[in-house]
Amino acid sequence: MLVFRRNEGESFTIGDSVEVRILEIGRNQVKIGVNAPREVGIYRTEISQLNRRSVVGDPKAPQVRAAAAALRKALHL
Amino acid sequence: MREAEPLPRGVLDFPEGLPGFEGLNQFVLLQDEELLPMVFLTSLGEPKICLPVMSVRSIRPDYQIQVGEEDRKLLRFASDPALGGNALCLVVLNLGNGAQPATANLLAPIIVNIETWIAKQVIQADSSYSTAAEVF
Repeated sequence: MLVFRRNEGESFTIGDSVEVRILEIGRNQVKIGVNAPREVGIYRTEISQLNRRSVVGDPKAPQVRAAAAALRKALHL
Repeated sequence: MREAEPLPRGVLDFPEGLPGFEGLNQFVLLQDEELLPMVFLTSLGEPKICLPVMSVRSIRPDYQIQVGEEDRKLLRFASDPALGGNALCLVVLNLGNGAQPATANLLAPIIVNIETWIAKQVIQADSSYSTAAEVF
């Protein structure tokens, strides 16, 4: 992993088309701005991981049907 | 399995993709009546990429969506997005493995303009919604 330091207001580029700017440095968070072409997906890593973890290979699998049944029961359907 | 009831044209277009599945932009909602209200967001190109989702209104009738100006443009909303009107809001379910309870990602719902069928997973950054809310 490449590691380097940037100050507030400075930026760096990834390739020629993605620019990442450090907008604000707070106590526990940094605010970041990204300029990138639309076809480049910019995602929060944890959301990507959560989505991947949600994948069910086969919606007809017994565990999926069991979960759906539990859901229907909880919703009184 | 057949396409979900409220999908006259079927294919949902995610112009910015869906986080975690780079390069997949077109999905359909498959439904099986016995499993409703759980439906399955399934990649057109890779049917094994299949995520259980449901309308947020089934579990959180008071859920509020926030869609910023750029996302409104991307989704081509002609007027304010309204659940039950021009917008559909789906939450991604994590069914767990039996040991853990199933959860819903309320922080990052998939918002669909039902007039254009353009969709995006829109982080509700200013909310206190959880990525793993217990649903049942």
